[in-house]
Amino acid sequence: MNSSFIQATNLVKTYDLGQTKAIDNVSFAINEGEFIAIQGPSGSGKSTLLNIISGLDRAESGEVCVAGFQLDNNGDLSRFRSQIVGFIFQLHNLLPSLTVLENVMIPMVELNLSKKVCVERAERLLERVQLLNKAHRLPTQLSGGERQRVAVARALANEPKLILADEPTGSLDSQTETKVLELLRKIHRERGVTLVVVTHSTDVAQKADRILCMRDGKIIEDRMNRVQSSMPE
Amino acid sequence: MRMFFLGLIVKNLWRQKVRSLLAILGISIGIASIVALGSIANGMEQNLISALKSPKADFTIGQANTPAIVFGVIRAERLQEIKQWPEIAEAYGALVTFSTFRENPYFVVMGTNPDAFELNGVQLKEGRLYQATSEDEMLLGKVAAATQNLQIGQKTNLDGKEFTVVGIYETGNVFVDGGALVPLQTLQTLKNKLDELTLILVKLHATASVNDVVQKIESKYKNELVTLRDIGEYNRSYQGAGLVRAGTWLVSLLALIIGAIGVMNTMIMVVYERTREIGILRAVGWRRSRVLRMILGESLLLSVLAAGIGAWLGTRAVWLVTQFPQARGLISPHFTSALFVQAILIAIGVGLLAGLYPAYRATKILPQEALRYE
Repeated sequence: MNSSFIQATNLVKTYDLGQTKAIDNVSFAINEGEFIAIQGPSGSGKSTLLNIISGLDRAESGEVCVAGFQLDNNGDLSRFRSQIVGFIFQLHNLLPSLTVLENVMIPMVELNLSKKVCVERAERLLERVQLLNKAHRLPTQLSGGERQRVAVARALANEPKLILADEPTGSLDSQTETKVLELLRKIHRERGVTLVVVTHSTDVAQKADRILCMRDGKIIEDRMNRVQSSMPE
Repeated sequence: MRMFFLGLIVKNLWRQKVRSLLAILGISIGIASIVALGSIANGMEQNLISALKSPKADFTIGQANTPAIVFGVIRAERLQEIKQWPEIAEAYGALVTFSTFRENPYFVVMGTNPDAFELNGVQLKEGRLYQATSEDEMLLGKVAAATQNLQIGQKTNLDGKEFTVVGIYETGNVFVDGGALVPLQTLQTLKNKLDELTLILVKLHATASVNDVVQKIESKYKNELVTLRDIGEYNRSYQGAGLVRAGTWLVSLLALIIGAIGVMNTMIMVVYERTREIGILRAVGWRRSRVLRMILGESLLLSVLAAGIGAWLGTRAVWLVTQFPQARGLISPHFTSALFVQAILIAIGVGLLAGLYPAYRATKILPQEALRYE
């Protein structure tokens, strides 16, 4: 029995038939409402760790429990992903044939809500990310930063308790990066959600309350960030 | 959100308009063949039944154990024997033959005498009747007169013998109206079938029991004669109808299999091309069953659209065929609501079956692997 929001114990994940250890006996705990950065160079295992926490991937051994969901069983984790997690990918991963509004509504398909309620909720979220005026455009008609803001709105669609972001600013210029991070931080504060950001960038990591540093599949440092870089509120 | 989900299915098909259209066309050809061939088979069955069984007769006698009653043979003496029975009010024999007539190899010529016309349902529309002893006169069916462009008084050749058209008749049956009537003995002589009949039409006295007489005939002439009172008996005795139906189904089935393979191929391509997209949907919380329903829904929608287009194509194709003069005496399509319901249900079944494997494959897509997929 543990009281942490995310509790991971002795996680192991290998690739290439066990030749490459992506995650090597990793244990950590994250409290509800924390803003955590998982930082490390490319290939350190940080994205694999995020995929395991999100229920997109499974560890070969060890235990992981998120918001009361035990993720190491063999069941379908789609309900967990739908109700608990909002995921922001590095490459926004919007559906190109759907409008901005429809993209935000996509996760709501699994909820038992009327279309009217879903449209209103999606419009509120787009307003929150300042893209309501582009609700009926296609993703290809938006800039990179705008697309990532749509991805943020989509991640919030089902009012998740946990937002996981995999290099959310990895494909953005520094000015847009600051705007997206500012948005994520605001949402974290306003909604009290737990925010886990994976990044290779020290600048991005400095925005978090706590930083887990990874190298070669291990957490080599777990520290509170006392010198959070200032961000306009 | 059901409407949003359904809208998504429509949108997904609309994205690949040409491919969706080709898949729809593929399956609609199968549906069109079911509707077209089915309506033709229905019409043939109906016409054969009404040609063999006059509503004014109590029953018809034909040859037992023959694959097709119209090709059956009854010895002419049987008519004389049965006529003597006290229950029989009227009984007339008819010889049905097929002749080559002005490039139509299936021209129906029926040998029957004017005294049988009432029981046969023959109505004279123009001209006069022939005499039973006449050797060179014929009556032409209304459809045959129109398609062959023949008028009363004109002479025409039938199997090498010259006949004069003395009248035009109508029965309401496309087979009979598409042919000609000549005196029984004349046709028997012409075809060298002097002792043969094809059918005997029987009307009983009001006091006689049809069941009793039918039983009497079938026990006295067991394995030789069969009586036909209704459609059920007709279908039982005429295996030809079953063969026509089986042929119709075989052609339709082949067309459907080709269409179904087209739909399945389309849906497999859809799943393959949208691997990453399906991965995103799974990553944002869509259940496997939702993905399954989306792919099956797309396949089903293709098939339902194909059913509509196929039904329309089928009716148009039959209409086109009936515009040819040669087909007028042979084809009289009979469209029934059951035929259309059958076609739609088959389309839905094909849509579900063809979509099942691609949909199953879609549910097996792992989100983390699909997101790496380019």
